[in-house]
Amino acid sequence: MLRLPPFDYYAAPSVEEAVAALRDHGPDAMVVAGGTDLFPKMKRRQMEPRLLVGLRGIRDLYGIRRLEAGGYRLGPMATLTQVSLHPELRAAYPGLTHAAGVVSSPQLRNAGTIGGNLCVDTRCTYYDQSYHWRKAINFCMKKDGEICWVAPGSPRCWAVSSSDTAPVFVALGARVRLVGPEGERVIPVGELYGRDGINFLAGKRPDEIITDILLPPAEGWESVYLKLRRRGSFDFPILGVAVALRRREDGTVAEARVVLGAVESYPVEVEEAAATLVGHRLEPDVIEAAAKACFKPARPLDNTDLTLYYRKKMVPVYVARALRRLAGLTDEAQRRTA
Amino acid sequence: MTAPFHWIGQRAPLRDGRAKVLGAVRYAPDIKVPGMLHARLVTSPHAHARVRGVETAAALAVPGVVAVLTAADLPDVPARHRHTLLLARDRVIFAGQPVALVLAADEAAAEDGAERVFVEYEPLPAAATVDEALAPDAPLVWPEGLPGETGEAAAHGADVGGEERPLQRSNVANRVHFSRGDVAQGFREADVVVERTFTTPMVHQSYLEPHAVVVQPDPLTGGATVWSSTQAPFYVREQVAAVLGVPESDVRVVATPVGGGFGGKFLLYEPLVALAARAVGRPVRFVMTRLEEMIAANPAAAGRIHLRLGARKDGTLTALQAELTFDAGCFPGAPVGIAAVLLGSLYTIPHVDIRGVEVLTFKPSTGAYRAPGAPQAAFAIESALDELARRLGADPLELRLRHACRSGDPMIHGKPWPGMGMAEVLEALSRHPAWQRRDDTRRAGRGVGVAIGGWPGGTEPAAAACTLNRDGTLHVHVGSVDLTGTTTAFALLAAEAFGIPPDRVRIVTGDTATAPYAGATGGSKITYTVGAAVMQAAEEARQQVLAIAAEELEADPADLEIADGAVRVRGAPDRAISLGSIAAKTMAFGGRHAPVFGHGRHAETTNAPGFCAQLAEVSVDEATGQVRVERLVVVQDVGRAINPLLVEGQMMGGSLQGIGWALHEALVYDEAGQPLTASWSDYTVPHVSHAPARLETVIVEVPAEHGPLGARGVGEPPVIATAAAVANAVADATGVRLTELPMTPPRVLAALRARRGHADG
Ligand SMILES: Cc1cc2nc3c(=O)[nH]c(=O)nc-3n(C[C@H](O)[C@H](O)[C@H](O)COP(=O)(O)OP(=O)(O)OC[C@H]3O[C@@H](n4cnc5c(N)ncnc54)[C@H](O)[C@@H]3O)c2cc1C
Repeated sequence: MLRLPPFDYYAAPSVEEAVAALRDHGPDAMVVAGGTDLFPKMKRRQMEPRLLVGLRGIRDLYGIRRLEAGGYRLGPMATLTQVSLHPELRAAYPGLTHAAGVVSSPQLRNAGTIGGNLCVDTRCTYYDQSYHWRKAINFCMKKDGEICWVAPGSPRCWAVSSSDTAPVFVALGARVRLVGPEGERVIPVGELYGRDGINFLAGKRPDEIITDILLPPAEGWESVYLKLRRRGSFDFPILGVAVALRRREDGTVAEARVVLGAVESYPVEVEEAAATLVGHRLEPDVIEAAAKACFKPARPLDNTDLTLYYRKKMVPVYVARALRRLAGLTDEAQRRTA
Repeated sequence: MTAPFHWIGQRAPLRDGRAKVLGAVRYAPDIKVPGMLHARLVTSPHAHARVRGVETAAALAVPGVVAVLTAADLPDVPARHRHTLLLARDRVIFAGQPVALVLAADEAAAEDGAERVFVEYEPLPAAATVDEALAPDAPLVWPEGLPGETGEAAAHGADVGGEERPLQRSNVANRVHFSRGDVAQGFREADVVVERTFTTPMVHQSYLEPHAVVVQPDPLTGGATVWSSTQAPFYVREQVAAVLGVPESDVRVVATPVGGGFGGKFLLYEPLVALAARAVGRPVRFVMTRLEEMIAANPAAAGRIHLRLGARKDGTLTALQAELTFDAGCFPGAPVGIAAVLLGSLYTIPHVDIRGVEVLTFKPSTGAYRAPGAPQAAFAIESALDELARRLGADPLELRLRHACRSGDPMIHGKPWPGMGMAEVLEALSRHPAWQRRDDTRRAGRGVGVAIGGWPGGTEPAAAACTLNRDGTLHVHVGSVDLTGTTTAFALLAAEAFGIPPDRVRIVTGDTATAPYAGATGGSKITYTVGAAVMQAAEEARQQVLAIAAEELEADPADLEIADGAVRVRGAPDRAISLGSIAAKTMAFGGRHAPVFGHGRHAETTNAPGFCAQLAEVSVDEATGQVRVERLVVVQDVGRAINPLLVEGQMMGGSLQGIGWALHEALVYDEAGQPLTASWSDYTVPHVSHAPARLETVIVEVPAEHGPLGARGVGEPPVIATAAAVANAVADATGVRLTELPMTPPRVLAALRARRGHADG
C-alpha cells in the first residue's frame, strides 16, 4: 500500500471560493479535479500539498457547449471519456477526441478531466518513482534534490510534457480562461507552458484556475493526433504528433500547425514544418519535407520509456504518418523494404 | 477404465470460477485474525552496503506502531536460503533487501513507521551484471563462502550434484557440463555453422495477487498457524518449523487460494513473518506492495547463451556447442542445469558439448517461473535451428522432425527420454492450415515462424481420500494447491472412477494438519500425481460401496452397477439402493457397515514430458520496429485432455506470457544495481490488446504411460516456445535475426537499419 500523506480537503462551492482558498494558502494548496495525476504523485511524495481544493462541486466547470460565435467551450471538469465520445467534437476536432481517447486506460479516462490533462505534471524516469527509489539516488532537482540526473550540470529540469491533448489544443489554436484573485484573462493554450520541467505551467499563476477551454470554429480545419507508446493502453505518450491544417479548394494548404508532444518540457510547435506545407498540396515529397523539418526541433532526452535515439528517429516517421493520414495516403510501412 | 468416458473430456468450467467472478473467494490478504498486526518492510536502497546502524525511535513514536524489529530481535539463523536471509545483519546484497520490519495496528501506521526508520549505510561497490561479477576483482556477494556450504565443503570445492565446483572464492555459484561425442569432430563434419549469442532478461512472474501471509503464533507449543498464498504448503511447514525450532507437527499451514503464482510463490517471507509474530506474541499479517514485489521478490533468472550449431549440406545436424551464463541474483538456484539439459536433449545430435555457469550478482535472488530455464534454452536453440534451416534452404519443421528426439532416445545427461510426443506435436503443426498456407500469409506481408519447447515434468508422492455422504455426494480430500484448474479435473476423475456426475463430487482441500500429502504445485505435476491418487481413492470407495450394496441387496457385487445415484442389480432396476442410504447405513448408531473411506497413494517416478509447438504470424512495421503477433497457433501434447476447456486456457495463458517474454518484459537495473522497473508502469506486462487476434489451440494426445488416463502435465510447456516462434517469424518477415529479448521496437529498428546498411554497403 502506498499511503497518501495527510492533507485537508476543501470542497469549493464556487470558482470564487476556490480561488480565495488558493490565495489564502499560497503554495501549500493545490487544485484537484479527477485526481488521477495528483493522487498517485502524492502517494509517491512527488507533491505534498497540505490543502486540496476540490473542483467537483462547481457546476460551472462542467459541460461541453457550442458557442454562438462558433467553436466550442469545454468545461475543464469534462472527463476525457466525455470529450472523446462527444459526437459533435468527434466530427469537428477528430484529432482532439482521438487524443482524449488514448489517454491511459478507460478507467482513468472516466475519472480524469480535460482540464487536469492540460495541467498534467511533466514526467521523467528519475522523478516518476516511489519515494524509496528517489531517496536511493538522493532525489533530483524536480523534487527534494539538487541535480538533474538526465543532464547533470544542467541548470534546468528536463522532465517531459506528457499530456496527450495539450499538443492538439495548441495545434487547434485553443485558448483557456484563467480566473485568479486578480480577475480573469484568456490566453492561448501554448502560453500556459514554460520552458522548464519544474515550472512547466509558468503561464498560469498557482492561484489561477482554468475555468474554460475555448476551441475556435472548426470550419475548414482538419486535425489528427498520433501517439507513440510502448503498449496500446495505460502508457503515457513518449511522442505525440498533432497536426491541424486548413486546405483551399485546390487542395493546397492555407494554414497549418504541427505540434510535438513528449519531446520537451512543453508542447513544441514546429513552424518550419508548417511553412513547408503552406502553399502546397499534401503530396509525398511535401510530407517528407515537413516530416524532416521536425527532426531537429525534437530533442528528446534519455528520460522516458524506450531509447532516446529511437524516439528521435520516430519523430519524422510519425509526422509523416499523421500528414499521410490527412492526405488519405496509406502508411509507408505497408511498403515492404525487404 | 476405458473410453468412451462419461465425464472425462467434457468442457467443464472452473469450479471456483463463479466465486472468483463474484468476489467471494477469500484470499490470504482477506484473512483477519483478532489482535492481528500489520507488517511493512524497511528495505535497502543500496545494492551493496554495510549496515552501520538502524534508528527506530521515530518509527516507534508513530501512533499505532507496536514494534520495529531488526536482525538483533531475531535468532541468528544461517542464511542458507533466500527465505532465511530474514533481516540484514551487517551487510545488504541487493536493493530491496529487508533491513527492518515495522509492526503496527493498521497498515497505514506500519507504512508511516517504515518511512521513519533511519538506516545508516556505508555503500560498497556492487556487481550488477554477470560480466562485472565475473571480473577478477569483483566484489563478492558471499565473501565468506557460498550460502549453505560447510566450511570444509567450500574449501574443497565439493561437488553438490553439479559437475564442478569453483575452487576459489568467486561469484560463480555452480557449473554444469554435459557432453557427448567429440564436438570438434562434429564441427569438422559440418558444412554450415550458425553461431550466435542469445540473451534473455530477468523477468517477473507478475501474478495479480502479491505475496501474502498471516501468522498466528501458538504460545503453548511455540509453533504457529500460517495462512499463505503459497504453491507449496508442506514445504512452508517444513521451513517455518525449522526457523522456529519446533517439530513440523506444531506448524499448521493453510494454503489460501492463490491469485497467480507461476512459480514465484513457493516460500519467501513466511519464516520472517513467523519469527516476527513469535517475537511480539501476536498474529502478524504481511501483504507485499507492488513495489516490494518488483524489488524484493524472486523473479526469473536472466540468461546468456552462446551457441554454435553445425550441419552437413544435406541437413544432418553434426554438432552443438553452448555456453550458458545465468544470472542468479544473490543466491544460487538459477535453472542453468535444466536449461543446459533441455538445450542438449531436444534433438539427436552426435557431438554435443554444453557448459553452464550460474553467477551471483547483487540483485534479488531468482526463483521459478513457469518452466524455469526452458524459455531461455528454447529461445537459443530454436532460433539457431531456424537460422540453420534458412541457410540450408531446408524446411524448418522437417528439419526439426528429422532430428526430434523420441521416447527412449538418450537425453544429454544419459538417461532416456520417457514416453513423449515431440514428433507428434511437430507433425500436428505441419498439418495445420496456418503452416500449410504459410506462403499466402507471406504474400500478405507477414512472417511465419515456428518453434517447439519441452518440459520434462515433475513427480512427487501424493495421497488422496474419498468419503461418501448421506446425501449421496462424494467428498475427495486432497492437499494440493489449485493453480490451473486441477480441482475441476479431480472432480471429473473421481466422478468417472466412482460412477456419479461431477456435480455430485466435492473436492475438499485441506491444510497441512488435515490433508493427505501432496507436493508443491509446480513442475506441471498435480494432475499427473494427485490426480492418480484421486482416481485410486474413488475406485476404492466404489468397491466399498458395491460391497455394502451387495450385502444389502443380497446380490453378487459383480452384478452391480452405480447409476442415477444408486447401486442397482444389472437388469433388475427395482433391486437398488441409493448411495445416500448406503452412506446412512455406515453412519448410524449400531450400524453394521464401516464408513466408506477410499484412499489412494501414489509415488510414480517416471516423468511425463510435455511438448508444445507454436506457430506465430507477425507483422513488422519496418519504419518503427513495432512487431505485432497477429496469429498464434499453440499445439500441445497433453497426454489426455481431462478437461479440454481448462487445458486450452493453460495453452492460451502460457503463450500470452510467452508474448510478454518475446516483446515486452524485462526487469532493468542500472550500473549500481538500482531497479529501474519498480512499478507496473515501467515493467510492461502484455495487455489483452497484445493477444493475437487469432489465438488457436490444437490438443494432441499421446497418452503418458503412467498418467491418470494418460494425462501429462499441461501448465508449463505453453510458455516455452513462444519467444522463439515470434523471433523466427520476425526473421521470416524481415530477414533480420533478433537475439535479444524482449524484442522492443528500438532493438528491432536497430537490427533493420543494420541490415539496410549492410545491403547498401
Ligand atoms: C497509469 C496512468 C497512466 C496515465 N496515462 C496518461 C496518458 O497516457 N496521457 C496523459 O495525458 N495523461 C495520462 N495520465 C495522467 C492523468 O490521468 C491525465 O492526464 C488526466 O487527464 C489528469 O486529469 P485529472 O482530472 O485526473 O487531474 P488531477 O490529477 O486532478 O490534476 C492534475 C493537475 O492539474 C491541476 N488541475 C486540474 N484541474 C485544474 C483546473 N481546472 N485549473 C487549474 N489546475 C487544474 C491539478 O492541480 C494538478 O496539478 C495517466 C495517469 C496514470 C495514473
